[in-house]
Amino acid sequence: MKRLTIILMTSLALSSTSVSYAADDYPSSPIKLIVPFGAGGGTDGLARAIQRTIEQDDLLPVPFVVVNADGAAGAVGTRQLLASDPDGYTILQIHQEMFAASAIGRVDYTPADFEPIIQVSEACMFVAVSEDSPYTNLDEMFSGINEAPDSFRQADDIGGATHFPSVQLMKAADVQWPVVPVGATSARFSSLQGGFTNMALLSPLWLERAAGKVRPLAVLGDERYDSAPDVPTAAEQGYDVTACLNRRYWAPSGTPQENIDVLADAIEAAANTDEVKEYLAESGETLKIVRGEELRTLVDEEYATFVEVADIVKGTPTN
Amino acid sequence: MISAYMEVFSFSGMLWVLLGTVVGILIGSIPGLSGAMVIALTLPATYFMQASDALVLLVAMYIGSTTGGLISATLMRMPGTESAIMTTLDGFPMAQKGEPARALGLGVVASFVGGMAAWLVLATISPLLSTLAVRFGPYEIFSMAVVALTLIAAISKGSFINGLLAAALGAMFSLPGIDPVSGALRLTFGVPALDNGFTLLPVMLGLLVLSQVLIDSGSTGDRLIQKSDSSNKVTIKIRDLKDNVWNVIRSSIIGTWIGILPGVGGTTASIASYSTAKGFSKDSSKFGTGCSEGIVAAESANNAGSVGALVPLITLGIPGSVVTAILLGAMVIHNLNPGPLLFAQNPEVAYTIIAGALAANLVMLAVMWFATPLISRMMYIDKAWLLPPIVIFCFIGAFSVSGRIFDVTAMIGFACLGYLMSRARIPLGPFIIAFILTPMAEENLRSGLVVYGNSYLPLLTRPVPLFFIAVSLITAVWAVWSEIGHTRKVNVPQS
Repeated sequence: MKRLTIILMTSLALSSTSVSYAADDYPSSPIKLIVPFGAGGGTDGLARAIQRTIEQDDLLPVPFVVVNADGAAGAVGTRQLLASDPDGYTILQIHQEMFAASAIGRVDYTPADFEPIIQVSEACMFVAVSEDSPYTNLDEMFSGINEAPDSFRQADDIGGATHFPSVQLMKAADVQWPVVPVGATSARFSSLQGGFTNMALLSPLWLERAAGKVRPLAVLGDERYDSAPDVPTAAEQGYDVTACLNRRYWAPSGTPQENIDVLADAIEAAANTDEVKEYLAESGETLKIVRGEELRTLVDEEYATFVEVADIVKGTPTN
Repeated sequence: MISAYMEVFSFSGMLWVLLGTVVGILIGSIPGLSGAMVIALTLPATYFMQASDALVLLVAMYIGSTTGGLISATLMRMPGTESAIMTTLDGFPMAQKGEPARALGLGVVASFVGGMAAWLVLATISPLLSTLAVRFGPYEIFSMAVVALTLIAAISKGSFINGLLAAALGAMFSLPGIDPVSGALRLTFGVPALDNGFTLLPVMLGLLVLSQVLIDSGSTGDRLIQKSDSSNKVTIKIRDLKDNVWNVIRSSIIGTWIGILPGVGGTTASIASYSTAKGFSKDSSKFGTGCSEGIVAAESANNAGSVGALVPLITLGIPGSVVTAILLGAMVIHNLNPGPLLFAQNPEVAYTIIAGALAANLVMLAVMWFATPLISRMMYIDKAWLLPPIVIFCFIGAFSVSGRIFDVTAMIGFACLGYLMSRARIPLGPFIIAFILTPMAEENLRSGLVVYGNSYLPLLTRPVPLFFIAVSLITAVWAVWSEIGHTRKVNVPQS
């Protein structure tokens, strides 16, 4: 037993020394990409599309491996990244769910504990009401809520990435409404269909999927959708709120900048291939590359908007 | 539509179906490896396949794994998959009585009938049913979960208090994690690993599988199984068929409907139909002792539930379970647009899935029919050969949930708990049922409270919840009443 411990300790020591001056010949061993959600979802889909392209086009000299670590709304996988060495051999792909978990105080890490590598995609939500709803724009909806506040419910994922923009929307409109814990987009759609809730934020994919069953009132992005040029943005209607999910790659803070650049180059090259672009289009997402200082600033600004409404999110009138 | 069937039933199509079904059955029969796991692992490999082949392969794996779970449940009292939990209750006692092939045969035929019933629904009226299913709201699902929870009283025969104790423990262990309504953490005691709560797979593997391994390894040598010569042939007895006509129809309907409800699933389907079968049975005391009705109810409902879960997937693009979520991902990867427009835009995809479900069911029946005589011999193999690999697979299974040692540790803890509970004659069934149903009941009750403005009244004014609440009240009162009667009967001769 003692001998085994010594062997283990030595090999551990060896591996950590080899890591510390790895920056010269980075990457020299396989790179692990943690997907903190289950197989088959949007995060998993993009991660695997990127992985496939990196392998096919030899964008990295070493294998690029995707590992699913589902649980606690992304916190399980994110913690695994936090516990790994900041050497660029373990990275993570997650969207604003990370900000949500941190702003609500469910985890003890913040975006400052990570180094953003690159942002690849963007999918801005839209405000959807059921097709038989009387509302055709945001103003009508807000004044409707003001008149009969007891009969309006939103379906959402409590404490999740879309709950924060929902509260921002409440603040911008100066009305409050109860939020029903329903879950992911598909569950929200089914709740709208069943008539149990009146409004939900849906991902752009559902614009086509739910065509004829829900009515889009506003796009929560900077620009209108190409596929639905008639639907105005919330900002155009006087409410400056956006709700976009951006898929970003992260490394633990302290990862050497050279290694981050190597990774960002490979992922950017992969994202720009036709294969990944086609995947994004099919998933209702758009390619939006942001990296370097610009990304850090964007992350900090966005996280600040989450923190700003965190208290209301925690205390949202539900029960 | 015809061309989709032709493609699936072509030679190459059937090869994928056969491969998927056999792999599914194998994986499903191994405690520790689940259908969801193998389907998730296969998904990346299907990128390079034709979309229709990929979907057929995955659907076949899904259906095969649901059936495979009954093998280890029947022969070893270890559910191979979650949905086979209820099958252990009667499957193992029957096998222990020397009729493993009869138990397996009943399970296989019931699985087939359940699967075919749900397939019929899938192929004919799925759009209609899916619109009905979304009208099944939080209070409807809550009251349904309550009915299923009252089953706890029903399956803890003669040990009512112990059953309730087990159920309370199960409910308690399901609570830590993220609060479904506030999104905040609860009962994690500052342990970060607990913020995902205890997941079903490690709990089930520890409590039901590893604890059984502990029990079995303590009793090597004394073989409890009676051996009979004719026991390895699959013979479907006329009496078994006659006894189960209504049971299999009822269980298939319950299973299909519960399967269609988004987010409920095959395990709940078999819990609900088992309790219903027991309620309708003339002699309910034989449940849990190896009766055919128990096996048939559990197995027809879980397969019907699995196929039923395809209904909201292909009609609305709503995945109701882990596996259907992966299937949805597979469609997106292959550039198909799942959702209400699937039938309009890619009808061949919808029909490929439907045809694949049919083919997988037929292949499953054929494979199991010929394999059962061989498989049932496993019953007589010295356990020393079977237990070590099962332990290894359990460790792999628990670790693979999200790559954490925590889940493995939790599994070992639940194994010890399960062993102690068995020794203390506290039944494990109520624990696992409460563990599965409590979160579902809680989430839906609390969602319902938000929907209905903190009012419990709709539970009594909406017809479906009212019906379910009445059923569960009657069940509970009846269970307590018969328990009192039972204790009296036991006590009288003593005094």
